[in-house]
Amino acid sequence: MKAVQVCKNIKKNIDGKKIITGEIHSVYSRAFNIVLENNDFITILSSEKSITPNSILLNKKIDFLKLEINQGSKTYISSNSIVIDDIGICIEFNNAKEWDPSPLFSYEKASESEILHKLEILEKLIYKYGKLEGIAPVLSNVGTLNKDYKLFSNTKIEMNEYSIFIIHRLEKFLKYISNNEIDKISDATKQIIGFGPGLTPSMDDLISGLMLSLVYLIDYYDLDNMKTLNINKLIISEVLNKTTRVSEEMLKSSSIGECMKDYRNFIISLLSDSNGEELKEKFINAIKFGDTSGTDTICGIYFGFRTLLNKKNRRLFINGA
Amino acid sequence: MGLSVEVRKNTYYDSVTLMLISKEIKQIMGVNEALVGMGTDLNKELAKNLNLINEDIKKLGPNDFFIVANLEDDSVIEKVIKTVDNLLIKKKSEDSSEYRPATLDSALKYQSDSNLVLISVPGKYASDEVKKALKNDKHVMLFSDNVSIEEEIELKKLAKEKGLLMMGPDCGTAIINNVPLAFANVIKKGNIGIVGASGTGTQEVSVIIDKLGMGVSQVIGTGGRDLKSEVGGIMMLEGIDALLNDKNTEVIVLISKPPAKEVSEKVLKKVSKSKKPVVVNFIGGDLDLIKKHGAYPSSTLEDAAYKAVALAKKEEPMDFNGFSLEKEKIEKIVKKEVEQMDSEQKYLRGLYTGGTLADEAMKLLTKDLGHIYSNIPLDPQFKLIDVNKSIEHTCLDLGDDEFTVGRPHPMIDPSTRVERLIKEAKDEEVAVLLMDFVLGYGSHEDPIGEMIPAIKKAKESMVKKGKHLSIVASICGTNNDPQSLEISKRKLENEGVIVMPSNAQAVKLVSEIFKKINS
Repeated sequence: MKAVQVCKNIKKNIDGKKIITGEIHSVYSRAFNIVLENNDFITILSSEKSITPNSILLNKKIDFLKLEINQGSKTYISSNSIVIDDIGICIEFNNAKEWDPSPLFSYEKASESEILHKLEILEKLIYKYGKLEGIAPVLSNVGTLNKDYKLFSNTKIEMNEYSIFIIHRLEKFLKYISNNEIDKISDATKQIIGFGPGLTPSMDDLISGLMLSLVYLIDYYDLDNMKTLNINKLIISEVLNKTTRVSEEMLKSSSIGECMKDYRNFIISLLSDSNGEELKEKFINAIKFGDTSGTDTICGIYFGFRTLLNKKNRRLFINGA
Repeated sequence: MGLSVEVRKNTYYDSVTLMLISKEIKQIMGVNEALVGMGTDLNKELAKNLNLINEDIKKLGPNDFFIVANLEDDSVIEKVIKTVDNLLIKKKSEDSSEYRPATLDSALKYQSDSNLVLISVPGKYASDEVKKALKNDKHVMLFSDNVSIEEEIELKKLAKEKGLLMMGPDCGTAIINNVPLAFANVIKKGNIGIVGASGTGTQEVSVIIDKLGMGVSQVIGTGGRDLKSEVGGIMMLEGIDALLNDKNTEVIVLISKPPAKEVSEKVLKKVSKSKKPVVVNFIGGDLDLIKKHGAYPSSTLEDAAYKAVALAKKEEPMDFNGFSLEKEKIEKIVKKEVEQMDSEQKYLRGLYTGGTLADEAMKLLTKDLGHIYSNIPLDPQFKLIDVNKSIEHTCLDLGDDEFTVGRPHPMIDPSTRVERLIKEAKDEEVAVLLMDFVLGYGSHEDPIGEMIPAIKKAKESMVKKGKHLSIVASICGTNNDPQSLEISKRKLENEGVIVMPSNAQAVKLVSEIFKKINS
């Protein structure tokens, strides 16, 4: 098997080392995860997937379930290949292009009013195309608890049992972030992290989206980097042993603005002078990730934008404030 | 029994699979509550809130997959685990499927030679999608409801202008070029074309045609409001034209609830010019008016199917208003059922998933039973004030909005009817339960299997009181449907349910039972 793209972080961690051993952590139809001896994660993706931090994208569409890759199988990782021992599969990434997951800030900025208009479009897109079985119903209901998050449109998504359980805690969490009440953020995070079904629980996806949007909005508004990123640090300080291993990795990456290519493209389309059609296209690509993960992440991005597009909140994150 | 816990260490599934599992488990008889997830602190807290916590759950780590259920008895756990494993296997095979476009634009790019678009999005957004499809010269089947009548008119006019079909809104059934769309059965290919403004009515006619050995050329849906004054039957008229021009169609069947007078005239005027024989079933409509326009009126959906089949075979169509079984056999069934009942038992409860079938049942039964209470009554004065409480003779359309707010249609998710059946059986005055079972694509994969435990429980509870609950059913399905008519019928009969070949015959049998009870 040949890889077409490899995340820069993997290259950085492996280059210069001899051989690292690992084992298969989990296997899905279009992706599987390897956990390395140092506890790092590597994800191998079938060609139709969008590349993510710490992943390797193959050149072919492959159903990994059909390859009968077993959980726990030993793997050996060198600077140019990965070998899965018991089924004799070798993934070569010697000639694969390096992909940098870092946030991109080089785009033509849209005006604040344009972004607000796009958020209104986004509400409708989530309702129309989103996968609402996860945590997405909170989107249209947090606004009833906190008017700062009242929707621009009349969209109403019916609550499911997960949303009912978590909505008040989420509202509190958002309130502490809006008010930059840093002493309360860690505790509020503990009250919501790891909640919901799935490999990356729905609430973790939402938090991940929120952290990503904060990173991008620091640049857009030229906010105090330290103050804003401190929130992300406080959030991930609560990650260990509170959620699944895969989710931990995702949250760590998101806290520094690293995310899969489709999420990055989506955030940039919100911030740049793209049109509604372009936004829709990027949205559709982003929600394809996982089952409800894409939609849940976008809900987090939405909340992050609503938080910092609010002038009253933003004042607390301005340099020197 | 209390809690039952299944833990799979270091095992991961995606969220939709887990939620699907959770939902399916909750529907298993004997499961009081269930939760499926990863053992994170918050998920454990949710378990605690649902009273699903024990020491096993408390010990779980965030990387452990768990299923916890509160069960009525030990025997249920095997079914729970089997259901979970089946769903996981099914999901794996579905995951391997090919590209599924997420928008209409990408679908049109991906498969530009398609000529029909099936649209099922929230009603508010449906109109834009339909316009997009029509502008790309594609026929449309619009499954969505909550589309305004103004939008419906605009869309149908646009479709007509472009010579396209716009089936819907709220169009649940169609078979185009032998492809069943949405809720439809696997029907043999044949020379009978149907235009239907009623979903289950259309399914019932097509299924009986298949049972009689014939088949359909096209089944065109119009949506339930098409024959109202405002819409003016635009799609019914277009549908008739399409069938008149279709060389594979030799007989046409029209199905609808009684249309608005002026629409009825318009439709029948077109029918009167048809060179192909037309059978009309305007459920409860004016039969003489239909006859006057040269069409064949029918008194029931079954009668419509019988007449269409006769015409397709170039035979003289005859009225079919009786039983397929001999009179003696019917009398024997009636006698056997009634003699096991006691004198308190005197009421009917109809539990329908198909609205048109419920409507047909009430129209046929009123003559013998008098007034019937319902959520969709024939006479507004017999509308149930509380749909959750039956009164005397009651016939319910469980697919109506009052029962489906926030939950799937009972043809997809039988749980509403399961609960209602058990509830009705607690009423000691109930003598007969009348039910429909709709098979085919779109319907639950085993609607009868889901109902069997409730049927058993209902019958047993009556026996304990020295009574007998008579359950009469009809199955709208064919042997080629994924659920199989024959297997479904056998399952019901094994539980003492009397299965009749059509809704009309099931209703007539119920009439006979009540005649005997009252004699």
